[in-house]
Amino acid sequence: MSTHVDSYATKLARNRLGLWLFVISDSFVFVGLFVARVVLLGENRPELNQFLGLVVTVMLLFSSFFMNRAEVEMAHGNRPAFLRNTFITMTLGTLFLLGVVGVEWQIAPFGPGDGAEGAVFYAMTGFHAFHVLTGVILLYIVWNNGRRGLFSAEEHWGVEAAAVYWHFIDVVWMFFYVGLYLMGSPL
Amino acid sequence: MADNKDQVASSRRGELGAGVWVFLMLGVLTFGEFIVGVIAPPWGSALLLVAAFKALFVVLYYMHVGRLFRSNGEGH
Repeated sequence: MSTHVDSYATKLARNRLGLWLFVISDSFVFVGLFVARVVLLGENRPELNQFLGLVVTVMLLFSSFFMNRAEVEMAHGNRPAFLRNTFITMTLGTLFLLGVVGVEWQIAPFGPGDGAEGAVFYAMTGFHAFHVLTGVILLYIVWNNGRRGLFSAEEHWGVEAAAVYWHFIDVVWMFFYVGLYLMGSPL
Repeated sequence: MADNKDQVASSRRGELGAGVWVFLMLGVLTFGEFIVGVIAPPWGSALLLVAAFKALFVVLYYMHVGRLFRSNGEGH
């Protein structure tokens, strides 16, 4: 038993390191996109609906809040609350996707091929939206595994990993929101 | 046994409470960013500092980066 616990603890430490290395390496791509935005648009920003930007940002903020609750509840063995909070997180993530891809992309007064403005906006939001989509899929897998009782208060690495990934997506959007919706004057 | 249960319940309450405080702070800062971005676009670049501050809180309190530096397996 002791060996099992030791080996889980060792694996957990290794998994955490691996996940953070992934997060750091992934963040370089987002940094690259943000630098492209600064270089190509400078003191200007794409002409976007700032209120819609705030709404989707608040959705993602709420989703991070519920993801944190889900992780805390699982860590204390409260499976129903974990399932409930994870489900809310997934729903908010899906609504964020609909807000950006389903609404903002449709009402934006430019297309992906309309100069630097379009290239920057669609590359940044598209790459981020892809991460949100993979995050929602990951959350569904974790939610389903939780439903099947595969996590416990002591062993729930999958939940922790999904939470870190989800919060990372939120952190990236904090910068993208400023870069796309708030920084500079509309073109 | 009862003490242990109380400790677990208290730790859960503490962690959930910290999550609420971080969320409220992020919400207030996000709304502040929006106001500044709408009424004073030239100040938009300064909002990156606010975004960095918000990100720091998420990394510390939601992503629990500190767990990386604990000995094997500590923290959930």
